[in-house]
Amino acid sequence: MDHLIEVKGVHKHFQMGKTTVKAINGIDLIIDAGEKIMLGGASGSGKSTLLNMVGCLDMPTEGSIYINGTPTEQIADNDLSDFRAQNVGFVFQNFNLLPVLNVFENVEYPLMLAGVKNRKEAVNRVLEEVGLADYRKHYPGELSGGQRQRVAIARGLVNSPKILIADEPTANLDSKTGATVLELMFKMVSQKNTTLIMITHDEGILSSADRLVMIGDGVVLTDTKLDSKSA
Amino acid sequence: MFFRIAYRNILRHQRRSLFTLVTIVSGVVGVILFGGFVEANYTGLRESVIRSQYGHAQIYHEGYIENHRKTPNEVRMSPEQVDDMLGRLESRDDVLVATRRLEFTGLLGNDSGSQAAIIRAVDPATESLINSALTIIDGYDLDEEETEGALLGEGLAEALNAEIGDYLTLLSSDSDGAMNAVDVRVDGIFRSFAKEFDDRAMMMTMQQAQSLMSTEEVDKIVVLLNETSMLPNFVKWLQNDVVAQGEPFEFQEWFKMATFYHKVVDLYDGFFLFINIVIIGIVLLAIANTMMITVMERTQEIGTLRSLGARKLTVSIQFITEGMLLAGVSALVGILVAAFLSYYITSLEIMMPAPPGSSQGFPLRIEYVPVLWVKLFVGVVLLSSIATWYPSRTAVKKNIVEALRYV
Repeated sequence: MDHLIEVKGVHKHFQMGKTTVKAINGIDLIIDAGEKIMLGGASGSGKSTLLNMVGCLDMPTEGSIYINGTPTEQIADNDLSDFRAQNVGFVFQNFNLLPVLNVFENVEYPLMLAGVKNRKEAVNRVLEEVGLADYRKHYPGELSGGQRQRVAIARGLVNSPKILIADEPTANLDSKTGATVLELMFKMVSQKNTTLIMITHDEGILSSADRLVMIGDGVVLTDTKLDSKSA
Repeated sequence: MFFRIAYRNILRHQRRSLFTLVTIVSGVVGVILFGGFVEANYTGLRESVIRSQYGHAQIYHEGYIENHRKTPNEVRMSPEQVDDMLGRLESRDDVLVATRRLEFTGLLGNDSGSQAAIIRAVDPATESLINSALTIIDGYDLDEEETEGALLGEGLAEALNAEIGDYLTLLSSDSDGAMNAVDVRVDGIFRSFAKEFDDRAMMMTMQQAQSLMSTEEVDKIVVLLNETSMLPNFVKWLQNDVVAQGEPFEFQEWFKMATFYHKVVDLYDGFFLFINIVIIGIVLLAIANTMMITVMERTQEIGTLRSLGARKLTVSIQFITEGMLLAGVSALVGILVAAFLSYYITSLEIMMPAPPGSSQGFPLRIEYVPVLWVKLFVGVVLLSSIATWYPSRTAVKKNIVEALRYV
């Protein structure tokens, strides 16, 4: 397997007034293409900070994150945007759908940013996959939490990204809906061979993941390989 | 997609959009109404100046403009010159009327005293067509047959305590420099747009004046065209086919003589500029304020767009599109409202008081000025893009993670 992502000696410090908060204190991590990695840890452990840096939303204070061998801190802002548009999908805890766009348009948006010309077919296909084909014209405000998150998953995967970043995607869903959403997400990333990096407190999902990386005080506490049954 | 997101966001925040729309509409209406009022004043004043004083153009003997004060008798037009030029002018389609004038100063007196006066000798039949903006407030107009008749300016009649039918003695020096006098009868009292003129001017028949001056010559031919817009072509003809051919004529357009008109235009232009700056400033602040709030409220959305791969410029363009669309629609509504109000206010025929230096009021008119509308529309849309650019630029510079966490 190729190393899709290499996290090398990464530190991340934040300035909060006069106080320097050391969120990440030297993390090394290798993630291969197609892996499904769960990040665990207590609140404030640094897992979201690490996830954001791997998703190219933020840069390390020290160290480097390599994606396909290129250090992300050396990529110019516009190129980094283009890289995200083509290679990284996101599923957020709060869904983060654009309220003025309907389901179809929300899913279509990343394709537009990636410069894809014929978008209709791809959008319809992914909406079929998440079971929302009949909701194309609905606006986010007209959907349930589970449906919104399925739209977010469709949006995150519509352009077949190499990496899908999911930050507690079930935190705002009831346990039954959450389980359905996670099951759908794992099924889709497995089909598309997408690398999934997800923060979750849902231990039930561990059976579907390849690795569990526990973070504490900004360092990797444990990095455990799991027996994946979902693929 | 930009446009779709923009108009849906405008509709989504109805109250805020409505506030901005009302502010821009008010500003646009204000500028258009004032601009239309100013333009109507310019047009009214221009036509008054042309039709009560100068005509569209005046044709003189060569050297008149420079020397008529020093040696007026040497630069007058001979009867042959006048007949030749009048003949050519009559054959032109753009000339409504052309008439002779002889102007000089004299002392006008009666039992009440005497007053220095500007005398304008005219051919009554043709002069009345040129002087359509001159109002006879008492008595009647000059008559070709009544050679003794004279019209006094309102102020001059008052100063001489003269009434209709009174005889006055006019004393002046003739073309040889000898003093001469004639009696004139006050047939009418006039009021023009310029009080200064009315305080000093008398109009009399050409026949009586030439008798007084012992001459058959005149100072000028005054030309009135069918439309003011025909002036450039007419001037081109005078310049190329008359003056440039070496003929002993020279000419002046009305605007070169109308200093009062230019003073009024300069004054109004100053007002208009000041009012425009104030209104545009308000519009700019309204749009900037709305977009500042919009951008702030949608910080999380900006974070989402950026995380999905939107470049900073793409996000800025999204907000600028929104600002421009809102401003464009508002400007359009403003133009329509202003067009209706212009029509309605003009139809009320409200009389305005006489402006400074003028002796008569005028009806309030608001002209349609499509050039101003287009300029205003483009200006408001461009201003909105500037007003939106700054807050959106600031917002997209925010760290994406911070933007996503913004509440």
